[in-house]
Amino acid sequence: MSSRKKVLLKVIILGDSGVGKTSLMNQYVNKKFSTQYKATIGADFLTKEVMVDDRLVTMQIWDTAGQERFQSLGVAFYRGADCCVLVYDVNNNKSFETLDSWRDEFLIQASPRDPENFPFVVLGNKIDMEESKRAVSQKRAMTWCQSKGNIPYFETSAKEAINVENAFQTIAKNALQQETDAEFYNDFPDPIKIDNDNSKYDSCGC
Amino acid sequence: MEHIETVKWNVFEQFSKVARFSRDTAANILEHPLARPIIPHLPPGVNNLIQSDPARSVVEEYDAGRIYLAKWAASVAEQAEEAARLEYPDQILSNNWKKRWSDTELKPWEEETEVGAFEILSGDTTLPPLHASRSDPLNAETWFSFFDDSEGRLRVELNEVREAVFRGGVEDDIRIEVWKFFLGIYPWDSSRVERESILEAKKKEYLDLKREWWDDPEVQSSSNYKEQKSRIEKDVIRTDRTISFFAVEDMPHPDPLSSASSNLTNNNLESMKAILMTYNFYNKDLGYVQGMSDLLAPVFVVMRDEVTAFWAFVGFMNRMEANFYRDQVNMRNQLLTLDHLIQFMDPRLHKHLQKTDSLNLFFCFRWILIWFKREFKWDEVLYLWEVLWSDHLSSQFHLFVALAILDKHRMIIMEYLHQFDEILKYVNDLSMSIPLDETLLRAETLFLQFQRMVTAIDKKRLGDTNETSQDSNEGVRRRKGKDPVNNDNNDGGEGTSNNTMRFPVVSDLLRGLLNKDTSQP
Ligand SMILES: Nc1nc2c(ncn2[C@@H]2O[C@H](COP(=O)(O)OP(=O)(O)OP(=O)(O)O)[C@@H](O)[C@H]2O)c(=O)[nH]1
Ligand SMILES: [Mg+2]
Repeated sequence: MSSRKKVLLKVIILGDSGVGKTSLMNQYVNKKFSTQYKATIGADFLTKEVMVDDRLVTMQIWDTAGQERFQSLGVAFYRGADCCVLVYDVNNNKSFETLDSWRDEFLIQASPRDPENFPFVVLGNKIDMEESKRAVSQKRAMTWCQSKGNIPYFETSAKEAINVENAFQTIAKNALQQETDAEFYNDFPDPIKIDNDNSKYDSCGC
Repeated sequence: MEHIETVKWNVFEQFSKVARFSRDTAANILEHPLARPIIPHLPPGVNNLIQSDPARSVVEEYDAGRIYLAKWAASVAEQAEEAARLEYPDQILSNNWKKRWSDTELKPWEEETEVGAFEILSGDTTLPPLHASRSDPLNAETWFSFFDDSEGRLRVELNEVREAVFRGGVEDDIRIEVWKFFLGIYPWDSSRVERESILEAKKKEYLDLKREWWDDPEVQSSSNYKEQKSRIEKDVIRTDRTISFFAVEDMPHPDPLSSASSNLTNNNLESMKAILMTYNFYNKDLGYVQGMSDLLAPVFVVMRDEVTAFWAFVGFMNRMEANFYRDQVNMRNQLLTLDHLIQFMDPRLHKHLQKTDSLNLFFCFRWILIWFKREFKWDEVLYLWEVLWSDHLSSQFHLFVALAILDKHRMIIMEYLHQFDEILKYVNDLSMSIPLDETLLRAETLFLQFQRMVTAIDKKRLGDTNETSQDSNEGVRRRKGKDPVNNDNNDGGEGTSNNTMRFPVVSDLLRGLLNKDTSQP
């Protein structure tokens, strides 16, 4: 049954204002970069059909506003996410330092079943700019990603279309993995309930 | 007949694109009432789809096909209306309204026992028709006739000016003057001489404010300043760059270390940054928040110079700033008011939004935050804003504009869009395709209807508390469901009379919509 089911992968892009979330999403889905994109207000999404491991899936990619005060109203759609993409600007130190809080906030609001293993992907964007402007080294970024449970890391440019396709392929793959796991849990909701019931009796089973 | 041809052609054309969606979806299209008249014209193969596969998928999940269908249905409906408009230019809107609130349209609602306040009025045939209207923009001649020749003081009632601007906006050549009044640079009771000296004083005041950061290296080295500067910079270069005023890049960037991706800029962009930075110092508690550059750009283009634009922006922000507060309480309140308003005016749509988990009305967030700046074309935004500033009917008329847009698409939303994400996508994609005059007409009609219903409810309630008679409620049926409007509301100590309970509650938020005074929203 479930293999016939249409697969929709919900992906949320988070990160400080101006790091290039909207540009990355449009580069991936529409294959273009424009300096005309406006600052995102509220939220929107684009969809794209992709092949992942011989399966045709629809990715629904949510792009949100980066300014923190608008987040509180926007958390409704974090729920049910299959993957969270954290974006920072490699030329902007602060945008890297806030990744921690973006990640924490996401885990709180989305409350995924298994937060330890929820798939994140980190993108260091705008690598096309002059080397002299670079503020966060690749090594530093990778160290952070490793410390958070080996989050896959990509250095991208939405402007020059560097590594964008690649990154989203991994995002899709990890999201699909997550979605499949979630489905597995959903098909067997009972064990959890039984566990809870049993705990009354053998809570000292240790 | 010609109309049928167009629709038919449209169906064929669209159908080829839709074919890749499931048969189920195809059947859906053809079942739509709008498609029915053309079914006989379709090839048999396509026609067969209608009977096919009765088992619908039970699980509702996001379906891009449904959004596509919804848009398609909307365009067909639009064409039909357009065709009708050509035949009966004046009647079409008012007829639509009559139909909208006639018994026939109400019946399905009644079956759901979700009829809101409309019922209270539906039995009453003595009410005069509602009269919403638009007119030509206010022109220079009329505008100047509002002021006396000698001193240049307003010599008509302010309400007359407000109504004129509300009905049609203003012509381009006087916009700069009119806006200075509406945005609080000029008091309405000022004389020509006073206005001149106000401008002089404002100029000096602006330069003093600007100097606080403009040539103070100490301020400029603070981390707060740097952060705000880069925020402003990032947004200004993303604001209305297609408008020629902001489009050219003919000047090297003053700060070669900036993180902007282009090293070129222009004078107007630099003025935008200066205005926003000065505002940041003028209103220190608030600072710069995203969305403000959207509010500034039209004001700046109309005012042309930095100083006047700054003060006009200050005037605009005085009524908008609460939208940008950190706690976002004001945004929540407006969304909640809109929620109440939908429930009061259109319980069936409200129920649908509830069912689809969409009552947060998040898809209206952008509309409200920056007053539809992203939804209408440049010239239309200028027009819409002056209409809203006029406060002719309500200081929150923008919520009726929001209601009007949803109202126009209500059937499509209810029929095709079964998920929060589908509704959000559909509504976001309305951007730049909303006809403004029609929307304003609809908004005014909705306001008048709202006002009339509130009055009627108040009158009935008063009647009910005065007499205990049961038969004063003809035409008002008992609702079986829970109170459709506002559950978290004061019952205002109106007694526990059963009769009273039958009316939708007019919440405080709803009552606030009748207020024209901006100082107490
Ligand atoms: N050089 C360069 N500039 C980029 C790149 N990606 C985005 N930009 C620019 O950075 C600015 C911000 O890009 P957006 O995509 O709008 O950023 P965002 O993260 O969506 O920002 P918010 O909507 O405010 O949260 C724009 O001026 C873009 O043109 C990139 O890869 N290289
Ligand atoms: Mg964005």
